[in-house]
Amino acid sequence: MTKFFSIAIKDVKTWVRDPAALGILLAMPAVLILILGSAFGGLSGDATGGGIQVAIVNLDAGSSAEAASSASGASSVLGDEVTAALAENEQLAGLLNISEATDPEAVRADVERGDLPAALIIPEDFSARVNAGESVELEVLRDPGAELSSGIFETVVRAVATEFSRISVVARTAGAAAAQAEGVTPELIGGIVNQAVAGATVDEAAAPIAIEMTEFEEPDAQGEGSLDFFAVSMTSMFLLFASMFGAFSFITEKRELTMSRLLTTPTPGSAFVGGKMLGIFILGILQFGVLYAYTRGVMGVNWGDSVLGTWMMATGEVVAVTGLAVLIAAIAKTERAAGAVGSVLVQIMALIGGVFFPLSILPEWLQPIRYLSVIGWALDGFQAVQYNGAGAGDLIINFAAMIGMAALFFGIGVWRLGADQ
Amino acid sequence: MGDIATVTGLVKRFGDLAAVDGVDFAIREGEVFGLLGPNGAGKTTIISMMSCLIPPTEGDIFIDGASVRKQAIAVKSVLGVVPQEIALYPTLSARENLAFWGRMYGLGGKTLSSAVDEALELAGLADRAKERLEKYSGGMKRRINIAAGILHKPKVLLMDEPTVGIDPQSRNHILETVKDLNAQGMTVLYTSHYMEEVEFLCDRVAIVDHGKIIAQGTLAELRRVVGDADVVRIGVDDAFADETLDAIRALEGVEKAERADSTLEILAADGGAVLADIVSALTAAGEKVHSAEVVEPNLESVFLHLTGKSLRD
Repeated sequence: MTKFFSIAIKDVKTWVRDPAALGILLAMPAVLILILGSAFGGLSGDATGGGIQVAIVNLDAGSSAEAASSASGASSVLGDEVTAALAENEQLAGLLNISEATDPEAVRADVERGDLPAALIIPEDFSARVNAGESVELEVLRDPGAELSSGIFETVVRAVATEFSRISVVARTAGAAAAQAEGVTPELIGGIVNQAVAGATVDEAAAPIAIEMTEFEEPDAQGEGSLDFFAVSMTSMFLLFASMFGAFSFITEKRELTMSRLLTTPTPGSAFVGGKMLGIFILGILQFGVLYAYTRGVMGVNWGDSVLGTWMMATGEVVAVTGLAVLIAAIAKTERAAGAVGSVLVQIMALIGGVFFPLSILPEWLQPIRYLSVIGWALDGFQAVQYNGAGAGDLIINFAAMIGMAALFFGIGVWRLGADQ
Repeated sequence: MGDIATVTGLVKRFGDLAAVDGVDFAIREGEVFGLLGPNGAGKTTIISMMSCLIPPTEGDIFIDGASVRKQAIAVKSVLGVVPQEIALYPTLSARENLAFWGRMYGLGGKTLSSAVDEALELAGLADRAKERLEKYSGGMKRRINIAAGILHKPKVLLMDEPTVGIDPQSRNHILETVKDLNAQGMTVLYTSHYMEEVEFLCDRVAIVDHGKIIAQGTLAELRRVVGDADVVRIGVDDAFADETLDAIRALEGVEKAERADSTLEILAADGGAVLADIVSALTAAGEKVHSAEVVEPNLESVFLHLTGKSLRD
């Protein structure tokens, strides 16, 4: 056991004294987080090319009091009407890219973490209250990091709400008048209503359908939503670089014959491999600790409330990093080759893991690709803590997936080393 | 004293190449045993098998009664190994390196601390113990390389060409260190291709060539192999004609003649008597003679006698 720890501590000392390792593992991510966080204030997509990605959650359960809507020839579920007015309007087709969702909390989380610039939630009692002549609110969720996109969507929703308010007022007035008159047919009422609708105006402020704005918190104008995103994503990515240094360490020990020397001592091979893996683990945890303290303490990054959940994700990722180090060391014969293999692996995992952009901008069928990446699982968990208030108990699958990946990498690495022998 | 290490029928093949080809020898407890041979003779492969780093293809090695094939950990526990290359961590200090290797040999606590102090004293580097190894000269690194192998006071110390590429001062320090360790009772297996080192240190010597032991015994026994023959060493130009070498071989009294770079090594029963004939033959052939010396029988002459070539080939 002493040998196991001695090997680990020796490796950590070696890395800590290596300026290149410190630069790549700590300085680079710190600088990148600062630069990217400052540069991309509107990360979640103010660019409207291809349409503004928005979601509508229609919870409207309809209404039993259907007189007014029947009179106007509309459906009894006004939420469907609002949705159709937004989704099927030809003039809005190029501007908005609307998806319909069912889970308001999921949509709320997407907007909060910047994956969606805006969303509309139609309440369950929307039809019932409109038909009863009561005021009702449509909730528009806005990401302050996407001010332009979400502002456009809010304006469009306001216009649609005003239109529905006008119809509602006229329909109820006409319906009430018709109910008191004799010998009036439904067709005649419909005609009267249509004429009234065409000529009526409604003061938006007094409209029965109001817009409730939910704009998520943005700490300041420097784009800290992006800072939060990049702090977490860059930390996740640079944790993987520890695997490269781990692989270097295996290869250097082989090249400089310290491994051979070690194997002439009464030290089992398992203690050697285990000690080196423990060293990589300690390095990764130290790296995460420094970046976490720096981003949270100095830069004010919001890592979420569950410190345990965050550290659980970090631990899972670092364990996967140790397995990856063995795999890289097994594939590469030289430090240079390990650097190349390691960099490519890290970049691919970062790309598909969602480090460089929110994966929500990918087609829905492609989004699960993140789960092929250690970073994808880690980032998913970190962001769940960050934006959804997830705790350690919610992250067991992410943690287990990363441990499974560690075992897979280690297994392939050991198999490959065995084949080489 | 009995044998502390026995090597029997040792063979190591790498594919079709037999790097070690049927080697047998025994090392007596408390002696310095030398393996002498040119580069590539198989010395390092023998040491690697003795230190359990690579398994023998055939044969076995017993050290302190334990087989390298079956009781590797027991063998490793009584061994100290000083590899040919400097196998240390350059960014750690000398003290940190020694403490690390001490732990790998199972030392800890005060025992480790005093062993490290002792090893640093032995290496003559106690005053620079806190400096990182990367700042040391080649000779100083070599001394720490040796110190790392003797911290735990092994019964048997395997030293594989420990003086390669160092300055004379460090070499002398290392040779004296080996003498001291042996005087304290440590058994040493010392490999080298420097005849002088082996003659200075070793009680008994095995001469290795092409993976085989071609002679072994005490220095006196080995010298007897060549009888009373002397080695005549002549310094010549690099551009030396091989026909001239044939002419020298044909001289009366010359047993063997070989050239290694700009040195002719000639084995002759009476070196002094044939020296004049050799110089005349060289002059007649138009060769320049830069230096000439007659050396009494030594391991070089033994090797030349047995293999027909110089140790430096």
